[in-house]
Amino acid sequence: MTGKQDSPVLLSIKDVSKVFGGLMALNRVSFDVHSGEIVALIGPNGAGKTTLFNVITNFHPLDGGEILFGGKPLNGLRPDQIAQGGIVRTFQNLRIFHNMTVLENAMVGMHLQGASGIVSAALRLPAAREEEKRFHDIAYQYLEMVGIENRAHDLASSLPFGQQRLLEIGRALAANPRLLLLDEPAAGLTRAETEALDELICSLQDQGLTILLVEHDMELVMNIADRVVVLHYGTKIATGTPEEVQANPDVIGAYLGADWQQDKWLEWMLEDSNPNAEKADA
Amino acid sequence: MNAIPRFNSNRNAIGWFAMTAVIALLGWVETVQPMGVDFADLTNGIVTMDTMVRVAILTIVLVGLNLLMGYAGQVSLGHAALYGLGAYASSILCVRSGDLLGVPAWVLGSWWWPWLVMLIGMAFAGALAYLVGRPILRLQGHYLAMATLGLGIMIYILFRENLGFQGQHITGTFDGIPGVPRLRIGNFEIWPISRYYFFAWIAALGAIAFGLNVISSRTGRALRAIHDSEVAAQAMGVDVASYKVRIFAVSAILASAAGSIYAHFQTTVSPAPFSFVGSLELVVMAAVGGLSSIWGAPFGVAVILIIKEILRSRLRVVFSGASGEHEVIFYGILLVLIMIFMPEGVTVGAVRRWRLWQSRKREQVLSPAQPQAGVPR
Repeated sequence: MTGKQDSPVLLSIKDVSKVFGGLMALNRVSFDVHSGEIVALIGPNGAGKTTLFNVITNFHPLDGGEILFGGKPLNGLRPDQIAQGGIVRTFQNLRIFHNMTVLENAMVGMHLQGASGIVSAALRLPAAREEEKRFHDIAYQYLEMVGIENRAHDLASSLPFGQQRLLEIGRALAANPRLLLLDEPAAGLTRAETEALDELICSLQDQGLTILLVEHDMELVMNIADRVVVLHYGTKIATGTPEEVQANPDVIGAYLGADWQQDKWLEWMLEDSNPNAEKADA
Repeated sequence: MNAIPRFNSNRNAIGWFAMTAVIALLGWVETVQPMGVDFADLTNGIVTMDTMVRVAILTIVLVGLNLLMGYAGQVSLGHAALYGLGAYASSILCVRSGDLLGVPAWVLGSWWWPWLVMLIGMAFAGALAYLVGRPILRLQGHYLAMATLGLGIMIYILFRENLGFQGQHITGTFDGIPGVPRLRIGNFEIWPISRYYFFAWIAALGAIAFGLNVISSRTGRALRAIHDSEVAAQAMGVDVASYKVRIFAVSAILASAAGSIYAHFQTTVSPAPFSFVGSLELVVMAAVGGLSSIWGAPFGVAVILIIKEILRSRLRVVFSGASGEHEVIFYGILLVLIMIFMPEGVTVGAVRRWRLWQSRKREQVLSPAQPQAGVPR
């Protein structure tokens, strides 16, 4: 864990602000993500976590500050150019391509790794056919990685909820990102599915991927995150290892009001964040 | 890796076989006339070879419109005008370019000039669509529908208003431009109609092959992704605006090619088919055939054209005094019904429901009664 913070900075968020109407959704937020790290972004609802994702991927333009990726500023790039640069995200409310098969979804993820256009596709030129076969095989491997390859040729909309989440992650992985942004990957998953997700994310880290995730499931966050950044009303109130953040009085205050006990706080969070826990145990 | 099951790879093969068989059979009936029966006799004179050639020609337009509407999710309400661009390019450059541009007579008389003109028309329509589409398609939503509506009306007015300069007329009035030559390859004239029938259908099948190849490619997946979720497509690195413009240009090129084939079929090009009603008719055809189905294209065209022929020949019997304008009412009702009950289009709606049902069935076999307690949706 300590070693990773010595590795070079991959993503640098500097004084980032975003205003919606009169609401300060993000207020001078700054933090770094180092290469190979898993950083978790937590905070109560409305803290600005998803907004930060939208700002990093330029779906919303910045209102102040700067975001550097590998030392280069991202300002002014289109979302597809951000993806081209190596930042790929998933969505909190699933945005899979419903009318395409599971495999085709993953193949869209590989879009940037191809070059064939309308003419070469229409004429079935050898280069386009070669690329198509390569896409097909590699996309299938990504489905294997997330464990839904047995549904490869079914319509994506026919997958159960948990597998649709996995498909979103598989599709993002197929884009071969340097930085993966996961927006609440465990939301709505059963405990067993969350545990599988835990393993998947750790194995991705072992393969050298850098991950920034927003998550409400504190057990998952405490298990996998190297560092945690806490947002509250658009302001960064704490950063550190999971243990440090748990002990931080500002964080406890933000979630619960100032005079709660730390162990009680953790207990409450674990309980709250895992609504399926009781049912799975029963 | 060889074990990856490929799905429905022979679905298209069945389509090809059925389609070519039907076309060849109908063509054979017309040319050979077995037992003295020619094609028109089959339907008591309502559906003729003429109708079948029109089906082929409009199929080419519909493939392009399907790629744009069904796959990229952009509505064009001016496609008849783009179709008209091809028809007018062919008629003006084949009939009037001697006086207007000083093209020498030996070029005008050569067999390859109409083919070259066809390519010029396609290039022009594609370039125009690209230039018009570029600023519009950067915006989200149905701006393209509004813009193409305006573009279509503008082009139609140019066709109609006998545009001209220095005493020379370019487009002609309501009467249009007569005297468009038949197509030839060397000395082989593509006429009588049975020859043109085969030529038009070869072109239509070419367009279908083009469409099928595009949708199952990287480009096609990008378009379908845009249709399902523009945001997610962008997040995967798809340059949404650029793809929309390109497919709009491609659909304009197909429409223009079809227009040229139409001009050499009719030999007189008049503005009427390229009006807003024409564009509406194309949208209705696309809706009937299925908005995201290449195979639905010839089906949608055939259904509408045949209904139109029946209405034309029978409506007057039921409602005396009914004229061609009454078709518009019919299109309106049909479109509303389709949009209410099967917004994906008639054929696609049916096929998709069937596939979803199949997938669900497979899911139950693979994971029987998996507990899904407490999953919020």
